[in-house]
Amino acid sequence: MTFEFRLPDVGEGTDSAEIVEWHVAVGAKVREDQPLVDIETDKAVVGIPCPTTGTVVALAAQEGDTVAVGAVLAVFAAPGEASLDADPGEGVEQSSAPAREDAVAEPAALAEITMLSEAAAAAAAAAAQAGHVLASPAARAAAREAGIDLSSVSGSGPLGGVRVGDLDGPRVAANGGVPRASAAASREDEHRPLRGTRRTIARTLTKQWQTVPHVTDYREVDVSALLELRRLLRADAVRRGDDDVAAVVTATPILVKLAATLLKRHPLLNATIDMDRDEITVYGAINIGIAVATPEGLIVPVIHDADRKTVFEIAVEAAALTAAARERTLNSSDLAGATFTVNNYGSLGIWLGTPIIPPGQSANLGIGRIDDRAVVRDGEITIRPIAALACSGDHRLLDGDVIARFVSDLVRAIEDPVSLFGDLR
Amino acid sequence: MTEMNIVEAINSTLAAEMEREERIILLGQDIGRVGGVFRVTEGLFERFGAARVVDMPLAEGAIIGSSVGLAVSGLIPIPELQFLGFGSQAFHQIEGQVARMRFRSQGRYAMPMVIRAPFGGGVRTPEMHSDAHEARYAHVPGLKVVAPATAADAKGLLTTAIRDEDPVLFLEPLGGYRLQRDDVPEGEHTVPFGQVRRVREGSDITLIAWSTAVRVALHAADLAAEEGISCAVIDVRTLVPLDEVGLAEAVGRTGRALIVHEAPYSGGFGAEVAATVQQEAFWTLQAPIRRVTAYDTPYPIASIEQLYIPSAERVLEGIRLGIGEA
Amino acid sequence: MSLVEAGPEQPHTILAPDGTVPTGYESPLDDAALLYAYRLMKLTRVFDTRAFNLQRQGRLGTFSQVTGQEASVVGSALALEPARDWVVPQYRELPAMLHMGYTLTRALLYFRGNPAGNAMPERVNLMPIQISLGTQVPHAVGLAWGLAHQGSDAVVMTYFGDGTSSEGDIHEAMNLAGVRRAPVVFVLQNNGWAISTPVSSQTAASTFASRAAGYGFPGELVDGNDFFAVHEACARAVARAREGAGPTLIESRAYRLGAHNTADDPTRYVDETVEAERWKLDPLLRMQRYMVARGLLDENTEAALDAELTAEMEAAVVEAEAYPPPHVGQIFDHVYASEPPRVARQRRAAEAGAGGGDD
Repeated sequence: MTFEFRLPDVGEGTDSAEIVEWHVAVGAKVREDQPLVDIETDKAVVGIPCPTTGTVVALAAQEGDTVAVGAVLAVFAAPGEASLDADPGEGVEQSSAPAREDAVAEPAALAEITMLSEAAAAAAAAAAQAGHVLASPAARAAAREAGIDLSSVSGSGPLGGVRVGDLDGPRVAANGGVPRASAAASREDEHRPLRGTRRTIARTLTKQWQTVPHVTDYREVDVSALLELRRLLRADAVRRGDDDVAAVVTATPILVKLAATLLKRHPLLNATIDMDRDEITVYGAINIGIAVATPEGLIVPVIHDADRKTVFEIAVEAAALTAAARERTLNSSDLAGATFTVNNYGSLGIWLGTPIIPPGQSANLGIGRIDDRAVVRDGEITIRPIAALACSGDHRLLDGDVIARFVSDLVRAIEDPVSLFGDLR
Repeated sequence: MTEMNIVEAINSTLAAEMEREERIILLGQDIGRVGGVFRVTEGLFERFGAARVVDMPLAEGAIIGSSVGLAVSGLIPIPELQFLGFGSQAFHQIEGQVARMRFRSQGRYAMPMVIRAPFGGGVRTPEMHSDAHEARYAHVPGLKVVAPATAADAKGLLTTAIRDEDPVLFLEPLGGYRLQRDDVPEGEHTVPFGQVRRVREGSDITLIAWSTAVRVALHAADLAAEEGISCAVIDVRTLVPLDEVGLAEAVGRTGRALIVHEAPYSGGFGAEVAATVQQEAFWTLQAPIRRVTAYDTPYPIASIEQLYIPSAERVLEGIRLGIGEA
Repeated sequence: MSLVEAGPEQPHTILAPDGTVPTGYESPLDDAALLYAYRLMKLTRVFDTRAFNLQRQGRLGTFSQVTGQEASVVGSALALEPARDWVVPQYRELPAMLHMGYTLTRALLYFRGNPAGNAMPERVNLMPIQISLGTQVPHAVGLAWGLAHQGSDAVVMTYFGDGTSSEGDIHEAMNLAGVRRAPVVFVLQNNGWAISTPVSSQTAASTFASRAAGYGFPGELVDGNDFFAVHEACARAVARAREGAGPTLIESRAYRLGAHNTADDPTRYVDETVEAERWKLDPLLRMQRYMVARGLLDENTEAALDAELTAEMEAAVVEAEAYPPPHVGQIFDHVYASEPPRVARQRRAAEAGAGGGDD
């Protein structure tokens, strides 16, 4: 008896995942709960343990492949059954014909039966153990003709078998790209499959850019008070003996706290509009996402209930989330539920950015690098640290004046934090 | 373990089972007093008596037809068709009655009989005596078909067949009766249906055969080894039920399959094996699946039968073809 | 084309068409048994008539009427003891099957194409209806032989027709029965026709009964329209078999009154006037006359019997038509005691509605 293990939904409605790394090979004897595979959903990498004790008969996908939730991920045989050399013993006795009432098969299961028979799994396992690539006879012939090494091709057939269609990419590569009219030898293009975080980001941004009309309110902000506040808070933390906390108090946690506080006065910027249901949802909680640049792409972990946390708490949490994002150890709840986003791209050297609003939000905030600039104060030119602030809003929900009122409050709070003090509850 | 040939293995198994189960009754032409034309039932008449080892009139239809009635009466008949070729004289009873009686009676009348029949060539018999008709019987729903290639499997499969409540056609290798000697486990020994026997391991191509063709395949494998080709050899052993997993796994390991059987090419059981392997091991195939068989002609006169049934040389040709098409 | 050839053999006869028997003749059957026999013959006629109509209405598949052969079948069957003896039928022996424990409902189910129709209940010593002509006769011989081998004194009665008697299986089986001294009674119902083929095309012999001598056992020719003649001959044959004297062939000549089956049109080959004459020899009619003369039957009791049999038939029709239709799993049930994995997979696919064949 073989057991087909199907990819579970590991994170609140995930519909698919990419295979990052297998921890077992075909033929391996495994124990229940030992690591089976790492998969990536949206932006979190999740480890899946072996669901049973036994032998791995087949792995249904290769690293880099995407598997749908509910599809077969791996096939196991119960212990002692994987080997055909087992002592025959008594005559094979099949279960007798089922009673009429029991004889109902699930149509969904039927599709899996036809897709992956025990015999087909056994053949694939044997081939893998022998070090052979799985490929249709047509693909083998085509690969031979085109001089393609089958083991370098990612297969889209059952159990990862290479089909003729899978050879198109490698075939083009093998031919050195599209032939040019010029006599010059063409240089080879590199083709990378779009996978994982990059693919998720690409799809999300495409959708957001295409469906949300953005309007952006740009301000230049004098951040001298902000920087002074930062200095004072750090000193305060040191005085308390929290050197670690002091180290993580940066402009970002302060901005998060300011935004969270002001969103209470401007609830429509902590909301979302649903055009399919003709509904506007004003969120009850204020969860601020902070954008973190990682080698795999932009990741936005979330500080939940930022309005109820202190600046110090936010600073510690932001630092931890940032580190986790870079180490790929965030879990799904770290990435979910943002109602507003703060993006500090100043360290990248960007002066002015136009942040794109993530799904489920109606506005976000970006702040760029700080430059000393010549400004006019009380009729005189003086030097101040200035940063450009950008607040994008979903124009379907937010008119320009609604955004402007929030941004003006925010600018005032940044340039004169004491002004908030009088309204402190 | 005792070394014995297939005749001895079958003989001793029949004796042991008849000793164990008094409902067993043997019937056939010349099986009693003379002990069978191949001496397979030698000594059983003396040991168990004329009532349990019955010399029948020369009428295959009545041999099988009366076996149906014997089974209904509660006995376990083991009728013999002296040669599978003459099973044609009883085919209407096998196909329409033996294989269907359980179904027709909705389970009331089981047919736990074993029809024994030698088949295959290599001993220069007159016309029709060597015909390999296994494909026709494998195509009869309700009938199981087994074909051991070794003495050990003859004992193991025959024991299983006798104890199986379904009717079984037990095909004995005419050419292998005395040629094939191997170690046979003593005492109780059963081989389950639906499991191939992995005769030899190999990495380049999988040879699939049953009955006397297994020896031919092994010989061809030896010749191939001299050319540096490593052949795996699989003995199918039970045609119905067929071990799809075992076949697929064996072919998956090498990516190439060559099927060998004595019966004519078109519609032979090799076609069934090829179709099964193609479907289940498709993604592992590196070369076409070929069959080395007799030609699509009637079994020839004895003097040229060696040119008709597959030889090790012809199988070697098939192996070379399969490897060449890497 | 006379059925009774101008040969020395004349069928043994007791009950004349007018219902009289030779003076002083006493049937070995008591009144209760005679009434049971008459009832069974009548029930068969009721079934045939009703079933014919059902077939024409599309509520029953092709079936073969016993009409004209009631005495032949009932007379022979009553020589058996259902508790220990066996019947191996062809398909034109409904009353014999009923005598052994079969039911009208099951018969209707069979002809409606439901597998339950051929599923004999436990302790009903009846083999299934056999469509492949004559193949059941070697079965009967093996069954009789096997029962005797196990020490039983049971007797097996098997039926086949004049046409079927040309099949090789009949010859092989009777030959084997003689050699094995099997306790079997072969009842060859010669009704004159194998669909449209008359007996004269079936054999050059003057009787079928004469074949028995060639196999080493006795053969008897009886008037199949004559209940008593048939019964007596069969009772003798059964007694012979039971005491170990071996088989007997009974040739029972009974005219087929009607078609071969519901798909047949006998007007294409049977002479109308000949047919009319034969109706005068109707076994049911002469039995009725005898019963009336003996005082076992009168208008009232006959009417009551008719009503009872009609009701019994109706109840069976209702029951059969209410029976749940077969489901797809029954394609697979009981084919094997231990189902091969491939067949099990096909079963699953079929039950999931994915269609026939393999995946």
